[in-house]
Amino acid sequence: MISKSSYLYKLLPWAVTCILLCPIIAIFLSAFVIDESGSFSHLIDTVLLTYISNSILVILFVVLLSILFAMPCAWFVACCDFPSREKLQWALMLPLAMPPYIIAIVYTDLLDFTGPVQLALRELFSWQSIDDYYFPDIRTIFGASVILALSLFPYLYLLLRSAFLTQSAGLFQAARTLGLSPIKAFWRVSIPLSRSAMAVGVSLIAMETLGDFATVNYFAVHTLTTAIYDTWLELGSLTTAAKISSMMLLAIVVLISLENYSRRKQQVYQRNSNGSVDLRFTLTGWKKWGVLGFTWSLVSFSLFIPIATLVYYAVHYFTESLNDDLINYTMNSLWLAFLVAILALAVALIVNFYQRLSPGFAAKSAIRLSSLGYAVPGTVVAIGVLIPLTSFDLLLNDFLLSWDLPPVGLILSGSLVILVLGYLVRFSAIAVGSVDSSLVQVSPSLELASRTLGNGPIKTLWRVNIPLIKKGMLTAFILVFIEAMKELPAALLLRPFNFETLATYVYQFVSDEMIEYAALPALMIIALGLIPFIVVNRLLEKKR
Amino acid sequence: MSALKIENLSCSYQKTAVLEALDLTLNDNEIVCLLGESGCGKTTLLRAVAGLQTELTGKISIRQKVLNDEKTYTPSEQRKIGLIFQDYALFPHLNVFDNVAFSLTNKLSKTEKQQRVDSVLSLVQLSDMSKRFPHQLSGGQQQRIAIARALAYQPELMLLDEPFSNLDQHVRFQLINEIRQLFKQHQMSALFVTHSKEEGFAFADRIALMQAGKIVQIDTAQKLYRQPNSAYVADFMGQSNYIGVTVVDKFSYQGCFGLLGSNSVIEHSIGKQLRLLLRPEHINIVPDLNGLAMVKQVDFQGALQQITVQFNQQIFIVKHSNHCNDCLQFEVDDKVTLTVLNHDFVTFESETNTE
Repeated sequence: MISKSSYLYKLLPWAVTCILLCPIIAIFLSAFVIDESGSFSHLIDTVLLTYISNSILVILFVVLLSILFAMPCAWFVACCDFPSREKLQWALMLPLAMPPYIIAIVYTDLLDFTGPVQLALRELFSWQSIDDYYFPDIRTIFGASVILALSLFPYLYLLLRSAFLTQSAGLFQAARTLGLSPIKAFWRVSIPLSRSAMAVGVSLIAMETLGDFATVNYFAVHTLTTAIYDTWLELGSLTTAAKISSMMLLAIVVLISLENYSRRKQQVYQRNSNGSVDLRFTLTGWKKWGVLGFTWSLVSFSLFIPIATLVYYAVHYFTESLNDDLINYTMNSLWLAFLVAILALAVALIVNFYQRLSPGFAAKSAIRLSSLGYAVPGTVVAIGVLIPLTSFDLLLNDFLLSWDLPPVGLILSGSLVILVLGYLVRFSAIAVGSVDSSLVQVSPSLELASRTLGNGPIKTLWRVNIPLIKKGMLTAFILVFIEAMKELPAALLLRPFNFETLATYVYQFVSDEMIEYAALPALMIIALGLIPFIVVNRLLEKKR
Repeated sequence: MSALKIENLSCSYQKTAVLEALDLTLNDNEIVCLLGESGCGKTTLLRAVAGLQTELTGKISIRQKVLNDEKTYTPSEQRKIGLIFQDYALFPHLNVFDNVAFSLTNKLSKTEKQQRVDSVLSLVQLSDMSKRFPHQLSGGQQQRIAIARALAYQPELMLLDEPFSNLDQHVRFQLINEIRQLFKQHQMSALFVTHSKEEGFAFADRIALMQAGKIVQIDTAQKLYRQPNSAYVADFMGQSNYIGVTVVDKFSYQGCFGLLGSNSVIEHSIGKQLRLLLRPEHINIVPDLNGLAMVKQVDFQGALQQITVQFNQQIFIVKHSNHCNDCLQFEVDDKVTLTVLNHDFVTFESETNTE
């Protein structure tokens, strides 16, 4: 429905898509570049296998633990009735706002030899030294996995809960009338039907785990992500870092394919849903107490205990923590997140409206390609933007020198441009998806009505589409804002000299094991993530 | 002057022809219904007239102004048409007043806008609803507002895409009557798409029956029902029985019901075999212990009984009045006699005959 002369409609979205895709292509191409320094082959000969096996082990443990945490919770909340169920369905989402490295430092502090737990045990049993008793060490692969699972299980919980809620109540009823008890019906009907939701959740968690840098690095577990960080910052080999990144990209492609495949199947399973609200069965006696104990313990371990510990330290070290640095870095984080969220929203509007104005394969491809960055870990994205931007800076300076002009230095790769671009590559997909999902709810006949009532395509977008997707746009903005506030690996690698965000500031204290100083800024990150998170969920609930 | 003229219009989608060399003329103050099964191309034709279908060949003109041909493509927003949708397409973020005033440009003063909106709202009898939002209205009210919104735009042609199919039966026919009267009072020409022949009968002056991208017959509802030009049209418009007949002379056929006298001259050659259409109401049924036909099924349909009868190794559907207490009631296995009532016979080529 666009006139043939309107190339701008197509040029702009494709230009945006190309910019967002450039880092991923750069990583892909780097796999074929010959490593002249030899550090990659050295890595292969020495520690690469350990890194790979560690990465796989962490992913495996995190996924298993997340299923263990999320599946029972999702079922209890969706299908059972017990006191505090409504509060719990909320509380179980909130750990998503907790950066895992913050949970990590809290538990290390609590469970260390000098921490309150071991102190209490020693006092209770009159043990004198570490040789008198056994206490598991948290700084292991398994310890890191537990911490990551505590922060990531809500992804799976949310997907499974909605799968249980939207499964056709009729199917469950049919199973009951065929003689199955509620629990048997759950195992034989609900669980098989939620397999695709499970696969989507598991692949999301696997991707997040693969991308985690701070937690595994804090526990000295060497994975592929920490390897990228080390090779670039310590060895200075961008080629090697890029080659490791391309290996991770391959793993991500496999996980995305699994996720996409499962999502398609999920749509089939969730058709004709009419909710299973009426089928909730009331828990009483030991079952009720068991469920309450399990679910609220999980919320406590992932949310209340970390927050309470941080509050304790923040109060005790308030005057030392509240300084100009904290205020400056908070402001840095806030305006950076704001800028990235605005830009991501612009990207989302450009590609989505392109699809709306000229639907077809080309527009769909633009949306898909511009969203590729969402699955790519921050560290990999960082390397991806470093490659083209440093090359550009070097070429520009060479060019200026060849004309006897003064060099301009690293105007892109040494400035905030690279950080903003890195964030955009990583987070645009969230905005694109959010705008897309609210735009598909706008009936096409509304646009046709506006067109036949004398409005051109742009006027129609302005008068009909934009007012109708305002909530979706706000959701997109807030979601990107939260992610940008929390993002650590890309910030660590891409920030200009002397530029700190709240996350890098906290991480600095975390790596120096100074929880007392990390507490207040960590609470700021959590609050700045939690509040918008609650706002978004309220918005989405109203939309339903 | 014709309100709409479509000449030789073709459209294909993924190499499948959706419309094939289609011609249609809509007269002033005329309502034409495009009727047909799903996928016959009726909505595509409507979208083509609205300018929402771009891959077309052929010519479309409204009031002699060419909108589409080899050189011209007028975008929807410049066509001056009112399009009414099945889902009403009211803007949910605007109240009734703003929905109706949506097409009114800022060239109109506030008072003029108010007057225009008030006048169309009073036409659809919803003057007191201007502050409400679409979700606060019933389905019938929403469709009236959609019509008011289109009327406020002062279109040269109305296009209606299954506008009544989301409404309850009793609201539907009341609204059809009201809107038909409204269009007639305002001398509005309209093209109306539906798959329900009852809606077409009630709303349109003429019905264009479509099949596989073509109009197979266009005429009044009565003509289409009584004088269909093909078995497809006959079957689409109502229940049909067919018997094989042979032309005996210029005025009679011979078939399983004996000699049937025609009201008009038969133009086929003597001896030619044809299929003669018998609507259920054209067959009379009487109980007869010596009858050669036997009742196989009786269905109660309110004012009528529908009786399925086997006669001469063929199944016939017959209707019989049911509205009086002492009406004949038939039962399965009753022996009956069937006779053909006098009417204007319609014949089609026999399936084995290729004359």
